[in-house]
Amino acid sequence: MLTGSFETDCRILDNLLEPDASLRKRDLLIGGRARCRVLFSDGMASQQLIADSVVKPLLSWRGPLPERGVPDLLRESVLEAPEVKTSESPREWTASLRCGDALLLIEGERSCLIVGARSFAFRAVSEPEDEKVARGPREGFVEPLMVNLSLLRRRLQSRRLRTELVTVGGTACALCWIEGTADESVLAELRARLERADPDAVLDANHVLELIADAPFGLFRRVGSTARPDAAAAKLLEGRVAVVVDGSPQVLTAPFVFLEHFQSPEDYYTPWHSALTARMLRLAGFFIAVTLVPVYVAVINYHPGMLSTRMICALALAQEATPFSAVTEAALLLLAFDLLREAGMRTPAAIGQTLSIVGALILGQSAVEAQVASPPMVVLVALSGVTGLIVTELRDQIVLLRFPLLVLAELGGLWGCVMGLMLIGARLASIRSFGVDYLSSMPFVRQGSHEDSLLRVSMRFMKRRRFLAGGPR
Amino acid sequence: MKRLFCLLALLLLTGCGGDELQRFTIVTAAAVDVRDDLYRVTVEGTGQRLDETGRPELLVVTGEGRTLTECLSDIQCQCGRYPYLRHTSLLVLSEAAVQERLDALCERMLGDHSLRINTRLMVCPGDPAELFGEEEEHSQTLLSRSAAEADTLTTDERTLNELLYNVFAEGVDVTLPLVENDRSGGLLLLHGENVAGTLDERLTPAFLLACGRARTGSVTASAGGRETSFRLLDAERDFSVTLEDGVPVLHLSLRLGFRAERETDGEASLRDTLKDQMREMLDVLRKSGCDALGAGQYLRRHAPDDWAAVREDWARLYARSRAEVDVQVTVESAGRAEEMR
Repeated sequence: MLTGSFETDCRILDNLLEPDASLRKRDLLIGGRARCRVLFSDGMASQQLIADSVVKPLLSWRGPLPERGVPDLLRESVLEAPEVKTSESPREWTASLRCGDALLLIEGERSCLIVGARSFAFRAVSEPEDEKVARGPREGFVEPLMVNLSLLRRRLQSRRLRTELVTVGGTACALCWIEGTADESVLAELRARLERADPDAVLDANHVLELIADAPFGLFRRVGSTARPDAAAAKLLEGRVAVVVDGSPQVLTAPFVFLEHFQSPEDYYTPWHSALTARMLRLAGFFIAVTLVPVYVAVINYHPGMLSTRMICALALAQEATPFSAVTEAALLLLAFDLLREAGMRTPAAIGQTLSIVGALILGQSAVEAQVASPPMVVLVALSGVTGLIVTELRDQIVLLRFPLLVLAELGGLWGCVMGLMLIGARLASIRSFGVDYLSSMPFVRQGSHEDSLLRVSMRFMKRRRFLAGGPR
Repeated sequence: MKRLFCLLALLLLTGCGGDELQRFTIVTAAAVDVRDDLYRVTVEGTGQRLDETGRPELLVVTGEGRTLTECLSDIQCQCGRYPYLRHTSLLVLSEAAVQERLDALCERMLGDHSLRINTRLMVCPGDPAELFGEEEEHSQTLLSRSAAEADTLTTDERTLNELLYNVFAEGVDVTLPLVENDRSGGLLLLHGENVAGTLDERLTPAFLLACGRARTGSVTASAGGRETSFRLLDAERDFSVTLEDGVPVLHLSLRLGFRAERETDGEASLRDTLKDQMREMLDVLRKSGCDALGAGQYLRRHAPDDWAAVREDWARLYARSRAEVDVQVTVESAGRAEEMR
C-alpha cells in the first residue's frame, strides 16, 4: 500500500487513520539523514516510553543506514522498546494504534514498524463487590485483558496452561485451559461458537456469554462467570475452559453445572466443616426462598389441618384484618420487597442504607399497622427475601420461580407446589452445558465422586487433583 | 408447546382456588345430641376477634337440623362462617345420640373426613352442650382433666379412630368414657351400634388392666386394716379364649407390679381385691353382651374354624361364657427409716 515516498505515504496514513482527535504525530530524522514519522494515540500510548525507546534512539543513531532493510535494522539494533514488529497490513496498523501501540513510518520503506507502548489508565486490582470473602485472597479481575491473563498466570504457574487469543466483534478475547485436563470437545465447541458469533461489538463478557450459551433464553445460565482469579484458576484446574474478554472484569467458564451456584471460593479457605455448613445453608436458603411463601399460601388455603390449632387460630386472626386474600397479599409483598431490593442496589451507598431502613422498618411496620398486610405474611416474605440473597447468583431465578409456584400453590395447594417443583427439577435435569449434564455432581442423581459437590470433604480425602496438597495427579 | 399443554392440563386437575381462612370458624370441640328426632350440634371455637384480654374470643354456637349437614349450615348462618372441624380435639355425644343414631354418625364420620381420627370421644348422659359453658376453652380443660383421670385408671381415653375401627368389626365391641358434671364416671358399653349398659367407675381400673391399656395409675386396697394406695409400675397381660363343649372360656392372666405408699405386706389383699374386681367386671360385660375385651376377635384370629362355627350365635354364647382369672401381684414397699437409737 505504501509507495516509498515520504509525503505520499504520510497522506496515505492520514487518510487511513484520520479524523482522530487523539492521534499525535512526530516527524524526525533518523541519525539526521532519513525521515520518519511516529504516530501514536494520546491517552492510550505512553509518551515517556515512546520518547525513551523510540525518539531518543532514532535521533542519536549515528550508524550507517542501508538502502534496504532499514526496518529490520531499527528493530534489531536501534529501538529500545521491548516489543517491536514489522507489518505491511493497514488493518494491523489501525488495530495497533487503537490498542495504544505506536506506528513508525520510514521514508522509502513499504512497511511500518509497530512499537509496543500501551499505557492506558485502568483501575487497580481490588476485591470484587459481589464475590467478597471473609478469608482468602482479595484480588479481582480488572478490565484490561493482559492484566487479567497475568493474574491467572500468577496463580497457575504451570507449563500446561494454554492461552489462545481470539477476536469477537472486534474485541480481543482469550481462551485459557490446562492441557491434559480440559475436555478437548468442550474446547473445540467453544472455539466454534466464538467463531460463529459475529456481533458488531462486544462491550462486556455477558455479551459473549449470551452468544455462546446453549440456550440463550433459558432461565438457568449454562456458562459460569467469576470476577476472582482464584476462582477462575480453580475452575481451570477442574478441567473447565475460561474465556477472558478485554474490557470486562468477568471471566467466563464452561461447562457450568447447577451445583456451582452453591460453591464459593471461601469454601476452600475455611475448614471443611465450615464449608459443609455454608453449602448446606446456601442450598437451604435457595429452597426456602423459592418455596416458603407458596407453601404457606398452600397450607392455609388447602391444608389448614396440618398446622396446630393454636397456630391456625393465630394465623386466622392475623389474616382476618387484611382486605386481601393470602395469595394477593403474598404477591404484593414479594413485589414490594423485590422493588426495594433493586432500588437499594442502584442507589449510591450514602442513600442505600437509609433506603433499606425506610423499607424494612417504616414500610413494613406501617403496612402491618394499616392492616394492609398481616404480620405472619410480612415475616415470611422478609425471611424468603433475605434467604434469597444468600445465593446471589440465583437471585433473579428465585424471583422468577417464586411467582409461578405461588400461582400453583393457590390453584392446587401442596399438590400444585410439588408439581411445580417437579417441573423445575425435570427442567434442570434436561439442561446440558457444553455436553455436560446440568445436575452432574449432584449426590443421589449421578454416580461419581462427590467429595466436592454438595459437601466439601477434607482436602486429604479429595480423590481429584489436590493441587494445594501437592498430591498425585 | 408440549410442556405448556402439560402445565395447562395440570391446572385443570387442581381445585382452582382454595378457601380462605377468613371463611372458617375453627372448631376445637363439638357436641352432638338428638332430641325430638332432630340433631343438635354445639360447637366451641375461636372467633376472629380478640377479647378484652387480648386472646381470641370464644364462640359457642348450637345448630339444629334433621341432618348433621343442616346443623352445620345452621351454625354457619348464625356465626357467618363455616365450621372447620379438622381441629376438633373433643367430640362429646349424648347418650341419646349414641342410642339412636350411632350408626348414622359413624357412617357420616367414615365417609366425610372432616374430623381427625385422633379426636377424643366422650359420652354425656345429659345435654352435652352444657359442658361448653362460659369458661374459656372449657373443652380443653375437660380434655386435660380426662387425660389425668385416664392416667389414674379412673377413665379410658377413646379416639374416633378406635370407634370407627371397632364399631362395625366382628367379635369386638367398643366402650366409651362417660362424663357428667365435668367429671368422668365410668364407661358406656356398646354392643355393635347399640348401647348395652354401663360399667361402674369402681370397675374401670380392672377393665383397663384387663384390656392392657393401663400403664400408670394407682389402686386402693385394704392392707393391714388400713386403706393403702398401690401405684402401678408394670403390667403384663395374657388373654386367650378357648371353646370347651361349645362354651367360650376366657383365660385372663395378669402379672402386675406395684409400689406401696408405705411399708406393707398387702400383696395378698391387693391380689384378691383385683381378682374380685376382674370377675365382677367380666360378669358385667358378659351380662350386657359387650365383648369389650375382644374375645370373639381372638377366636377369629387364632381359631378361625371355631369362630366360623360359633359366629352366628356368638352373642348368646358370650353371655354364657366362663372366665378364668389369674392375677399375680408383686409389691415393692416404700420402706421406712430405722428408728433412731
